[in-house]
Amino acid sequence: MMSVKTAGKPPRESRFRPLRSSLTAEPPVLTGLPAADTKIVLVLDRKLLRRAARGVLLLAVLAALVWLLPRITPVLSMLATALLLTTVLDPLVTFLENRDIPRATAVTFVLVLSLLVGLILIRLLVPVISQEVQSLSTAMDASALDQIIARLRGELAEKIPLLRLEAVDQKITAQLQSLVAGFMQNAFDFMLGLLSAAPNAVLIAFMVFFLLKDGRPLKKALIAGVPNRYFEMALLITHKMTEQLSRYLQGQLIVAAAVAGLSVLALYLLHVPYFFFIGVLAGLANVIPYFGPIVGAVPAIIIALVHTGSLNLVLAIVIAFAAIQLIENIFISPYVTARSVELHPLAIIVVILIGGSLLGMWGMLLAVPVASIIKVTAELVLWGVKNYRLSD
Amino acid sequence: MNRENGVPRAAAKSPLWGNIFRRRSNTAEDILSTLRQVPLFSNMTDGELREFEKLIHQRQFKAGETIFWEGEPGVGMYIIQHGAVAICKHNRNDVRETLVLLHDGEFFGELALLDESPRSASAIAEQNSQIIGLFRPDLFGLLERKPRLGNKFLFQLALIIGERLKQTNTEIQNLRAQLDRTDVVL
Repeated sequence: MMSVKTAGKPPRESRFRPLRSSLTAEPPVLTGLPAADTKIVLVLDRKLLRRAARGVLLLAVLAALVWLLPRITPVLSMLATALLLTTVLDPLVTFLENRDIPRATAVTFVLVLSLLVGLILIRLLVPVISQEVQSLSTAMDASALDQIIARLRGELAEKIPLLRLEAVDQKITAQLQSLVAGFMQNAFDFMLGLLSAAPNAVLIAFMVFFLLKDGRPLKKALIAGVPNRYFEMALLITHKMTEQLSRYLQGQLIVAAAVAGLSVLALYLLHVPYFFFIGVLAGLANVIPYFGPIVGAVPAIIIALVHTGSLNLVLAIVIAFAAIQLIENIFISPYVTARSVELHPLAIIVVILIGGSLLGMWGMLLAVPVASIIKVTAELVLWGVKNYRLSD
Repeated sequence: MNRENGVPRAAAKSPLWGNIFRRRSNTAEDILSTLRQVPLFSNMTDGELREFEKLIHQRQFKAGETIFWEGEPGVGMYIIQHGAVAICKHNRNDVRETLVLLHDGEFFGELALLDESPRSASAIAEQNSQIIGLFRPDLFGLLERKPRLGNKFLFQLALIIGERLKQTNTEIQNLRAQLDRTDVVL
């Protein structure tokens, strides 16, 4: 227990250490230029040297990272997936541990259960989605597109007689063809990406197992290397970051699943072809704030247009998607997503463009979560720098 | 039989079996014996103490090194394993005044386990010290995973804080009585 063992004022001490006097200490002297009457003396302050060495080391580490990063991207993406899954599954493990089940047993149980659920989902969904994508691609060949455009042109000319379509006909055909081809290419790439990730699933499962089981000792070991001066700040920042990002990612996952489910249901009820594929895509696109809902609705509208040519169905789809957004905004998001990681719309446009240009569709989907991670990290580091005294 | 600490010698030499049969490290044992001395953990069983040992961070501070500064957000409490720590405040002229000097087995900063409010004083190592820390995020994690154990600890913390409050009240009463007597004299 605390007890007063010393009394009295200690001698006054200055917070500033006296600088090493370059006149009294014998300085390292570099001489090299022969001069008759001029002696060039270069005084090398030890503190300055240490700082310079630290700067060079930092630059070397940065250069090594820049060189290494593109070469280890597959490993990093696997690790990122494992971390994401760990974040999602951790509350389940904690829930079981809370009921006096040892952590290792809880982790094994949760992982086996998730693998089973994953396998069942893949078994059920992949054939349906791949069948939908294949049938969609055959329906979208050039001759079919021409027919569809001709039918649409007829319908539009009938409804709006004043519209002169001949002049823009060529342009519309070309635009629509490139749009559909681009969309199909992206969808195929996305599906292939999902399927090609399967062999890595075992490795990712191992990573998730160890991250869930030994995550805390691992974090403790990492933080043990932080110098004393930054230790408390690092500990608090790491904790806050983990907490905010876990909440954000869990929230995004719940919202995406809810929107996907509602979209599939709405499109099924509206008899839109390929309802499952489009619904799941809408759920995934919902991860992108502001633009996600539009990106999600566009494929449904295009498919409804080219398949049925009915503008009424388009209107129904727009209403359905608007209703889903309303439900999401009023009943789901406020309860599950962390507001602190909201980004400015302009920032979202920029990061989506960067993500798209770097990694295509995956990049567009991952852009906002990655930007959120960077934003949260930067905010917390700034908070730490402001609130902690980092120098003597 | 050729055995070493109850483990077959051949097994003890093998990197795999040696690792599996390894006894608890000295660091862990040191931490456990320190925790046993602290009143906050006085009602804990060995198994419960081992749960806390997993959360504890061990740090080395050189003489004169600051553990935390007054005004910084609090993160948790520290227990001195070996060494001495001065709890001090800086006065208006920025001169350091030591409030208390703590030694082996004594703890400080425990209020930071409850919230993030700023530290009320600075803690500076007076000698080279080995200190262990228990921090709020880890305690909250424990409360989620093992609420019974977390509550047991919080109850003990509440008892100690309550005891200090009683002592403070008594001191205030004594001071007030002294002040009243001074008034009378004046």
